[in-house]
Amino acid sequence: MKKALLSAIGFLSFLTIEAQEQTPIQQDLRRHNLEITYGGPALCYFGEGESYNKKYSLSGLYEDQEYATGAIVIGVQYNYLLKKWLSVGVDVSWGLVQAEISPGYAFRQSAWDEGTTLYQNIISVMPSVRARWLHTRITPSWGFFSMYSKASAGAYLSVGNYKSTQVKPAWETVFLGWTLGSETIYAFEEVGYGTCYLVRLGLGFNF
Amino acid sequence: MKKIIFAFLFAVVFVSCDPHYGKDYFSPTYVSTPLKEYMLCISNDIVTESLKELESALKMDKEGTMAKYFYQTNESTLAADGSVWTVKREGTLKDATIAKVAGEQAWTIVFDGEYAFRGNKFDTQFTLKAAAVDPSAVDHRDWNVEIVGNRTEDDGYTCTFNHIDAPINYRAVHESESSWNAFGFLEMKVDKNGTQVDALIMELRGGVGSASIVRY
Repeated sequence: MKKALLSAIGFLSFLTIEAQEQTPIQQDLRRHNLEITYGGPALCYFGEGESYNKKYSLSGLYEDQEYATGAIVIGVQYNYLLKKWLSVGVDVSWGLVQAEISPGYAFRQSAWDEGTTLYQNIISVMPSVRARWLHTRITPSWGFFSMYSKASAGAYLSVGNYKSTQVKPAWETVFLGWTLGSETIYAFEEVGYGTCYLVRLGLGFNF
Repeated sequence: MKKIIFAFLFAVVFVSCDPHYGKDYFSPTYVSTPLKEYMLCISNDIVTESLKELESALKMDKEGTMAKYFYQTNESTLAADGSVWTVKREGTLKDATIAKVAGEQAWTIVFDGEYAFRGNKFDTQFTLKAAAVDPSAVDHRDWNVEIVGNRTEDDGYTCTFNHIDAPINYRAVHESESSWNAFGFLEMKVDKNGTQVDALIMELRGGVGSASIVRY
């Protein structure tokens, strides 16, 4: 599994470097783009046995030690255009998972202060491949609308006072992403599933 | 442009890192969100479902056509003293009884069965008295609610809940046929294997989720 992941990361990184040598395919598409992203939740933590429904039972409230309260992820992504429909890039993101000591548990055990905030930072690096399957002008003279899908794979570092420090594989699949804007600046939104987010939005800059 | 981007990033990180972000330290006996959400299942789900059922029964009684299909009606109008209707239709309050309170524009709803809080079904009993604030109002109206009940869950946990002294005032949201804003106090005590482990009071302040909760 690790070998496969490392091979994938290596291959995607190679593509990114190799792509620098190429020339742009289409006049209306810039070669580089940089995106600032905001999304969540960081599913790598919510997927580890955190049960939403247990909050609504007394045993969940008074026996469980803690519960996660939020997990936002912000990041920066660089993409390089290989072909009109294909980009490769690197996605670097930082996520913050917050958790609180379960109020009933803290009260019953007199162990920790109720409401004590626990946190975990998640820093991920994921090379990515993006396939654009629609790219059209909004008006004859201005603006573009694009739709794409994307796959990323890499690793994340988890560090904080919530759980022990560790490095784990990270991956993300974007089923549907869309961008709307001009040649130089655009807004985008992505819906996907993976380690780091379900929904992500942000601003992108072409140059 | 770069400055704007960095300022935006900094603002997002700053807000996210604030440990007090989104919290409401209104009291030294502050109780955080999950217990509040649990108690809101009583004040919102149980009471609101009961009021919806009551208003539905009163409407059908007034229109005089459909009631027999949804309620066991003991052949009496729900407006008459002594009338007791039983909910026949499938739903959260199946088999609950609705009884007219003699001499008042009020009804008592009694439920004994499994009731789900966000999918968690446990044995629940409650008696709820709903008195019309304005007896002349029709269909969707304001109610004064008195509720006493208990719930038996797994791992030896039980809770009792009740209004405190004055009834809880449920004011109809007339844009919605099934919404009320609640004002008043609700008490809940939690036991494990017969020993009390917690006691809480919630102040309801109107809209959905607008409430404070303290431990005493």
